[in-house]
Amino acid sequence: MQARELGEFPGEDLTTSVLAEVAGWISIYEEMVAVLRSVIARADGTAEGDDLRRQLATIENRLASWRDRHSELAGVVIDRADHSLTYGGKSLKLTRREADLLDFLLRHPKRPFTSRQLATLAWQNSRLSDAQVRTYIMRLRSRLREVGLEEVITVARNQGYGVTATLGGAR
Amino acid sequence: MNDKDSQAMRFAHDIVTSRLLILQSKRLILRCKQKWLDANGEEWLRLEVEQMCLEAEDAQHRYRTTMLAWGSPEFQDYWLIAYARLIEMGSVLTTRLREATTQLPLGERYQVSADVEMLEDIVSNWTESLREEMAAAVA
Repeated sequence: MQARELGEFPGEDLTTSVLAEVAGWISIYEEMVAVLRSVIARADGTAEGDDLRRQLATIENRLASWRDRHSELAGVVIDRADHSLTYGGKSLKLTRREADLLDFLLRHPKRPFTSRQLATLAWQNSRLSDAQVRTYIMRLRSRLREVGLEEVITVARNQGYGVTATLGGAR
Repeated sequence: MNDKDSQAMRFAHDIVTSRLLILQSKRLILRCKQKWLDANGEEWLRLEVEQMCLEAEDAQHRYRTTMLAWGSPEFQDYWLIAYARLIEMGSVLTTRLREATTQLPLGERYQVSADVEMLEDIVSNWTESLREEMAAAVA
């Protein structure tokens, strides 16, 4: 009973719902960007293409801001210069690849990525095999346990790897 | 346009056309069943009409998705469907952002309001473009 009351303190639930909400906006922004990109690719050279390109730039800009905001709300700070992670007052030194991978996944919440997509999108290295990516994921998950974030990276069968929207289990 | 391009264009055209034919067939069947229902008013016909409505909606969704994936501005309905899809997504996002502003901390509200305004502006541009395309289509 007491735990339930504590859970309803102003701010706590709100933070979690805002985080999930921001993740929801991000996915709609992403879908809109994908449709716009595909339309622009086909509309090259037409009058509509120029207008749409300007709108795409604006929307992409907002999407990037909301991705940053999502990471802030999640409470995870990744320092790309020294590849360190700070969460809940704890710090963790990661390798460059681990930091890049986690940063990419946190900026694209609630969305699964295959090993091949992660190799290309997070590391810009399409030559890494599925087995190598899997090893990096397993190692990263085990490292994240040290700061209480072991549940953050999820595995969806036949879809790939992603992060939860709320980090609720860890917070 | 070389042979390979024109072959790809024909292929895309066939895929989009097949989806359109399915959609038109479903709508035709729906209209017939609706007429029978209006004339007879039998319960089993009402259920069939409801079922056919769902099938027609599904066929329309598939036609739009196929057009966006395979179509190009050379196709007659391309811009209508592209703008309609963008407006739909923009409106969903605007509504969700606006709903969220009341629950957000003060610091966040300004950022969200700015996003809502930006999106409303873009959506109204798309709506205007859609109107122009519709006017051109019926002209």
